[in-house]
Amino acid sequence: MKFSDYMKDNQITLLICFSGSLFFSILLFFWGISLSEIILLWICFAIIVSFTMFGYFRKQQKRIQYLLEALDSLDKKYLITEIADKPETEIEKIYFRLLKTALKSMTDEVSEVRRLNVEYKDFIEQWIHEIKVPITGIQLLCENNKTEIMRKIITQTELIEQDIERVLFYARLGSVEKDYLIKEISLKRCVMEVLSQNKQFLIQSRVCVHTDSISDSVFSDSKWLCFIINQIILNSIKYCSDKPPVIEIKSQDMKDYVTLFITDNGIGIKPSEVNRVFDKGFVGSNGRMGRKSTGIGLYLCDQLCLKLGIGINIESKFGCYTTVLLHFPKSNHLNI
Amino acid sequence: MNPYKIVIIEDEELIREELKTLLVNAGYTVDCIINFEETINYIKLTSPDLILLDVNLPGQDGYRLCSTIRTFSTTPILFITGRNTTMDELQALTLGGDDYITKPYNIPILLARINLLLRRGMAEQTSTIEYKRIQLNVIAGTLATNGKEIELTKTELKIMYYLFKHTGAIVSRIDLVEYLWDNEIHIDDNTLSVNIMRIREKLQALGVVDFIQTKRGMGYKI
Repeated sequence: MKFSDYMKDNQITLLICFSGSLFFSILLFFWGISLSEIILLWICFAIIVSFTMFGYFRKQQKRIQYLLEALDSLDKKYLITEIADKPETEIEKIYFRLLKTALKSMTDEVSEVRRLNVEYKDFIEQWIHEIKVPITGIQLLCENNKTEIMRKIITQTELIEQDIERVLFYARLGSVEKDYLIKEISLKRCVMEVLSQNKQFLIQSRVCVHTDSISDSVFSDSKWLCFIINQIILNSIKYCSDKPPVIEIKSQDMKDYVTLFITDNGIGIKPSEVNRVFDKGFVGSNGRMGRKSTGIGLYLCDQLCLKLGIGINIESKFGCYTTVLLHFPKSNHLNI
Repeated sequence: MNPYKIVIIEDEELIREELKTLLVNAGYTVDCIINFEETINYIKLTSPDLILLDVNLPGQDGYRLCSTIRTFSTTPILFITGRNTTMDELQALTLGGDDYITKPYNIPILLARINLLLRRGMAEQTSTIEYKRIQLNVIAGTLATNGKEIELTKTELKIMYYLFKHTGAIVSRIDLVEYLWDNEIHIDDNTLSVNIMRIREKLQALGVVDFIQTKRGMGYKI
């Protein structure tokens, strides 16, 4: 709070003081008191007024300074009323009570919303576990009665499964830190698992996948990593060109980290859009060409990578290829 | 071959029955538990080689059942469940489960895991298969006839192995592609054609013609 602000707030008081003293000095003048004595009185009065006002200003400034510092030191700003010293003046007490009530009602509101959110999330998770039962049933039925039609049905169920998985992972995104198990996993095994999860769909898409040069193993959570790789491979197929789709997956040890390259020969990404593909809801010109893009897949990948400490980036040449690179950090203290 | 006995503990009737069909087709003896109150006694009585255990069961959940079974038996237990959080996995493994697979499961993976738990080796231990005086050496990866020998690539070997396993029958292209995908070779229909062509060239070099016949619109036959 600046002094000028304080003066502005108190200009009425000043005005009253000034006009009061003017009135009294006129009165005193008519009573026959000399001008010099009146000026002396003015000076005395001015000194008294300015001292009082300055004192008040100092006090208020100190108090405000204290409150601001307290607020600054707080991680959760809404706890200020719990931390600050008890209010002294009556007006401050009222403000304090006001603030407290407002914050209380806000926290109530927030916790209510949070409770609903958790409930909703639990419901979604529960539902996903339930929907998996009939899907498993369909899969087994198809597997036991394999015909051309059944193969197509499996393809469709694989797609349904993909989408369900995505919902589950989206719902869990906020709590990755509560649900992971870091251990040494073989990249090859992870990739194989993803490929066999989508076997029918991939075969129907007539895709060729080269996996011979995946050899390294990394420290990560296999469930989440599989999900990330899955999204990337599905994207590769979604954005394939007229050429028969070929996906090349390889890993390379880069000394400080291990990189997994997933390269396709699809339509690629325009240079102007490469940096935005990880944004939530970003569809881009490829997505708008009727390829049912949702702008969620890569966003989820990016978020997950962030939480798992995996680096992710994309290299692409429009009309030629797209490579997604996953960088897994190597940590020496994990090699006990 | 001595068939292994597997017990399925699963409350969804359709899944139970289909799983049974699947495993019977894969050459196992399968028992299903229908009355879940008798589970423990039943297992004590029959002493199976492997137990497939669902987590969500009426009455008693699979985890508790697993720890009960562990008090008297060391039979491998493979958990099958819809839940896939890390906590579930940890719980399954710490309570004595041997492996853990989530619904909807991928069938080749399921079968592979079962195989692994039963410690059955690779399909058969024979290294060479012979048909029409042509020998396929699975371990060396070669085809031989009349003292001449030729090497196959990994993909060609798998294709030949599958054909040798189904002699006299027409093998559809899609079956072949699927088999390859299950064996970590991910190729498409066209690449399959290319591989078949290469095998034929190699066979020709051995002096064998028309060993692999193409059945138009159906597949291949040897």
